Amino acid sequence: MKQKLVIALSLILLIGVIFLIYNDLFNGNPADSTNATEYNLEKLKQIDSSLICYNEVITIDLTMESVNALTIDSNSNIYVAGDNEIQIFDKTLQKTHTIKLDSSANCLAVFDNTLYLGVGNYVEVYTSKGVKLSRWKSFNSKGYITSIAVNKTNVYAADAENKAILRYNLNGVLLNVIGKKDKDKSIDGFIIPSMYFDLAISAENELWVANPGKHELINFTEKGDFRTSWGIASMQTTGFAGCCNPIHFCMLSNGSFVTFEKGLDRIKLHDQTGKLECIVASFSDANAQALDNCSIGARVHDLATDLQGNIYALDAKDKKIRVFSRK
Amino acid sequence: MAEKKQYNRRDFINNSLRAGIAVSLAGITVALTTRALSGKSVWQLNPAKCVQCGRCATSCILETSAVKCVHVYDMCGYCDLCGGYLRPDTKELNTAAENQLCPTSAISRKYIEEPFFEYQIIEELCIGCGKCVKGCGAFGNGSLQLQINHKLCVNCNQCAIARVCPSEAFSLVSASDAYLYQGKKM
Repeated sequence: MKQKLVIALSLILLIGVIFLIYNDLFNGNPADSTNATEYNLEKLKQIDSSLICYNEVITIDLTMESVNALTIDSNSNIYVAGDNEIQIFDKTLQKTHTIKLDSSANCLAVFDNTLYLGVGNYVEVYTSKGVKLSRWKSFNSKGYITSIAVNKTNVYAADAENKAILRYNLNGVLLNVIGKKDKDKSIDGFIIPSMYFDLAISAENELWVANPGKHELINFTEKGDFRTSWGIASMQTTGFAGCCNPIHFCMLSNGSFVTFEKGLDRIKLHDQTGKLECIVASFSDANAQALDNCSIGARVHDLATDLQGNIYALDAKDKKIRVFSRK
Repeated sequence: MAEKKQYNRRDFINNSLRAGIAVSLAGITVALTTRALSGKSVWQLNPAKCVQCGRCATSCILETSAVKCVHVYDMCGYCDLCGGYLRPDTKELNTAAENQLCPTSAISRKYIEEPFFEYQIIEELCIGCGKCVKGCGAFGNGSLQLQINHKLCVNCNQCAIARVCPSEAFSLVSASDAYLYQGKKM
């Protein structure tokens, strides 16, 4: 009797051990386990939903492998640079035509039916129908133009490699170089840790330039004198996160600023003084992990606005233009 | 007329054994030939697939993981506010322990010139958790990358980290080209 009891207990023990081994080998789910050394960026991306003041109203699918830049003309035509071409959409969001390029444009601007493209270290000029008008002489062989803006007298090109703004007239004559370190003019120079260097012209024809390494936007006169700046470094929505932000910005007709920050992938609206007004969009969503997987680089490759105050974001991950309207 | 030989159980067993031995020898020959032609393989992780989940620090069979952070200097922005070195929302941009993102203080920070700093990995302290890699990838240029250090790795037949890696970033690569980091490490 005693022997049977020992055998029965041993069998139960054996079954228990087999169960534990099976569970350990086949049912362990490492994905569920928490890890003390994990860096959870999603927590940082979470924002108060009451701060969001825009709705995403339209998305436009793009048929491009890579998308680089976006601009909108005064007739609400949308121009998208990517691959080796420019795709043009009318205000009904129908693609009207495509301009084939010899090389990929990093940035573009349109004024008076003329397209100005930043291609490597030089500027190319096309009609809006796709006829190439000219290629301007490079500032130097090392340059890399990341942003371009035009008004009726000037073309400003942001050269990330030379850490300077190149001011041309509309015929491509270089007039002056803005933003180089100059103690006499109280200009500290631009800090550009990565190839993100954006500029914009306001409705009042004022030049604004992002200085991402200093987390600020700077206003210069066209002669290159420092006028004012705003911006602070902070993970909070009131500031710009990480080492170097904002990487893209554009301006509304009332002088407000729309900024995009890499890392936390958020689009924000600031008033004319730089004070945070609200959040346009945040990309902290179910796709965030996939975005992290594709890792280095920003989700949004450019921002633009139209005359109605809608905000257009060029989503490089999903190859879409996302259009946001005020709530 | 010759009488047909009967195929008995003994013949069947003999033939089966011969066939088994022949297949085994052929398999071993093929395996050895493949190995000889391809050279020695070692485990390595692909930084482009890595999601910095932290399991490299805890799943290696070694007491301190063979996975270490490498710094690819030519990709670095030498930022003052380094997303790989400093904790988010750090008030002071300095080397105080409470400001450092690395749980083992395995990154040293050296002033170069205003406002640039150089960051160096102290390999003995690095546990391969990838926190710095995640911070650098999200906010910076991705110059910090995880790699298996082959001076430390014992090259298990089945890498224990590869078994739990959620992004399948681990694979066997040729020992003659054993590192997969992007850019130039100086």
